[in-house]
Amino acid sequence: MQQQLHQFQLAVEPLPNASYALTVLQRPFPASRNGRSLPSVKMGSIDGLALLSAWDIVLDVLRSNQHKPAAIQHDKKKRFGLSEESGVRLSLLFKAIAPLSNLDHIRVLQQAIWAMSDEEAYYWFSKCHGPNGRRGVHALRVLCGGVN
Amino acid sequence: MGTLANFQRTRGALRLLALVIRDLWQNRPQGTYLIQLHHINLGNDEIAAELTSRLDRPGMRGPIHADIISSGGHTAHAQELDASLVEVGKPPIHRYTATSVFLHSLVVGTQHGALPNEVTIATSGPEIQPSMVIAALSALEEVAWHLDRTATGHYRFHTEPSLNKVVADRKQDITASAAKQEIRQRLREVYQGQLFTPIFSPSTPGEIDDVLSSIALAVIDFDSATVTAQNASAPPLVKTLSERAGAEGTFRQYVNRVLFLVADSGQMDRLIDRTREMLAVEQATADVELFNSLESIQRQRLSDRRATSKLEFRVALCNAYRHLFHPSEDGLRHVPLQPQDNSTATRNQQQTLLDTLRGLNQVLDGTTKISPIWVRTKVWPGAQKSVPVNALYEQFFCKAGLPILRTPTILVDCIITGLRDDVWRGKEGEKIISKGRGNVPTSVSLAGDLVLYDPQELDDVIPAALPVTKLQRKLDGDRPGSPNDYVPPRYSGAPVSSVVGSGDVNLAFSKLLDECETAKIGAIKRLSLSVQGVDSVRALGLALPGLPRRGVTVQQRIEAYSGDNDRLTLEYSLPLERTSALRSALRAFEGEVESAEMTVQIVYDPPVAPTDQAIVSVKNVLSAYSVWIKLQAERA
Repeated sequence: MQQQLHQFQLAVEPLPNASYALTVLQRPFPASRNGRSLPSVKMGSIDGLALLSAWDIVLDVLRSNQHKPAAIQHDKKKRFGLSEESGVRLSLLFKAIAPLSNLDHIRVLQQAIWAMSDEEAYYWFSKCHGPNGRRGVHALRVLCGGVN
Repeated sequence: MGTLANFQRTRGALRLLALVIRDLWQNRPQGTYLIQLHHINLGNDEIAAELTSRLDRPGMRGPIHADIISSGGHTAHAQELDASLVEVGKPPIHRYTATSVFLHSLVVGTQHGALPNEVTIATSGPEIQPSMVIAALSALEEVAWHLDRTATGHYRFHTEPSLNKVVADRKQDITASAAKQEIRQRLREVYQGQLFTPIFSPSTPGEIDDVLSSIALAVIDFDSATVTAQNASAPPLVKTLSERAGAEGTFRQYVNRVLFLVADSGQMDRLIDRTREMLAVEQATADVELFNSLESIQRQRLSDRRATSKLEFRVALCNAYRHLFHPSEDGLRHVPLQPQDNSTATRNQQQTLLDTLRGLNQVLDGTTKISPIWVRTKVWPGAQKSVPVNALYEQFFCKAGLPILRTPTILVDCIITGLRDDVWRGKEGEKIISKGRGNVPTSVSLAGDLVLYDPQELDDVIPAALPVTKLQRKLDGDRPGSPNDYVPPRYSGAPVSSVVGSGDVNLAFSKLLDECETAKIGAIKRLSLSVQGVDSVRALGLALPGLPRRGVTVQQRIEAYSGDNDRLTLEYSLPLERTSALRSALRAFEGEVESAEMTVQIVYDPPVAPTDQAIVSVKNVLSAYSVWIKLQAERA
């Protein structure tokens, strides 16, 4: 729907130990102030176990946004444009699972977020990124993943 | 199957086994290492007949076709869910799960249906993890027409329609026009409020009054005009409403008081679908007969679904109405509302719009302060030498691009500050109000008769020239009356210690020279250059290297915000040579600076004449930059 705007992007950021992190970025509005363009805002980032666990979902998202999964390389910085729906859902997922280390909890949250309707995902997205974002993320983990 | 009276235990089982093996041999589905329950292909007519018609349960064909697998023109719900998985070579897990549940549903008695763990055991395999089966069950429950979950947690298919089917049937009966009517009604609830005056579905300029009143929010009907996310320029209707007013379509005077909210065309189908869903669920909930026929768990599910559909509708509505247009110098400016702000489903959606505009510095309210110099350059009608305060107030509503003035006291404070700083002088009737007279009031009525004048237009004497002594009064005739009415004779008393010139660089220096000449200032010992505003401060900063190397002091104050709680306030006064590192560091915050002011003081030792090359060189350096500057020269 919003594909041409690419308001959201998925960024690959190489890490020192030959691995990498995936970050969802959102372009700010307005894009510039006083003649200088403003940097994109980090909406969620994962690496390590969380990334390993969400890998299938990330690949599905890339495919659905007409990107080749093979384009992700661990030693190369790259950005992929995402539709708004994909960006919203992926950043919600990243926010929810980033600090978790229990694989079962991560999977339950992944399934819950991916089973949400678009509207539900938008609602949670706004709750997790508003002024009380931390409380929103905590509520999401408790209500959708049973994680305390 | 043994519980079924019509099932032939030996012959029936052998016949079914033969059919299943033949089907598997012919189709060879991927990942079949063991014949499991879900490998029974209900899409095979013979197998389906064996499990339905032959068992005297022809009605169970319905659930197969609707929810599990259909070879006809339409796609079953499980097949719809599987489409994306099959596309990438994954097993059709929803169909497998549904098949397992279906076969458990044929059982008669207390074991009717299957618990999630039973379905998991029946369906899991090397390529199908148990968690995937549970997720598939949840997904099926959301869409299937004949799948149900009992109070004991058993999933089962039955011939009776489930809640999904009931809602889907009712949804079909709700016309698009009924859904649109509902959307229009809900729009009135969602965008009602006190912050803006909402005007719903205006189609002619006459519907939006052209009066000096509160800010209007015109919510454009989705059938009248929409925009696409790709091409978000203002639709012709919005342009007309913004530019024209009244039944005759004359030019709108108060252009800057009307905001427009327009729907996204790409979201409308989704919104109408969500509306029909919400109405269908509400109808089902209101149907007493249906509600009483449901089991308690289904009643609970229906109530939950009602709440969910309401929330989804609300989010869909706000997602659709995501294009805000506000007047700017270049016409209507498009502001796409961000999903994180617009989908909160808060009670007052007007607050979201206001917060968005605040984030863009398009609103003046609360404790915001505006600088008189900014008002002089941006609000004051350029060609006019004087302006009544009510006209100045009106400018905020007339001049497109100015921020929305929600709190008029901000302008009142600014007028008073301007009078105190001698950015302008006031005249109320015959009474002159100025810094020089020391009669600046603490409050000003925007509806009053006060007229503001450019300082050069309203002659006055600086207070230092007014030692109002008894002797002076005697000389002037010992005039009675309040000091405010006293107009002192010009050029009497002590000489003026400093003079001021303001305007663009050339104008400010020209005024300064005139003032020096008038005040008979032959030598200047100190020259102050003051600017306000981010752009002006940046310009003056760029000019600093061109100023004299010695005797220059820089005073700067900046306020920067990068979020709700991130705030930087910095104020310093340092010799020029010590500021370069600090100013470089401050460049990192340039994008976030909200307010800034800078004063540069140049000390001339020995003092110089106003026309000296030292002063002219400062003017030449600054004239390369377009800034509104205030100069103050001190007599030596």
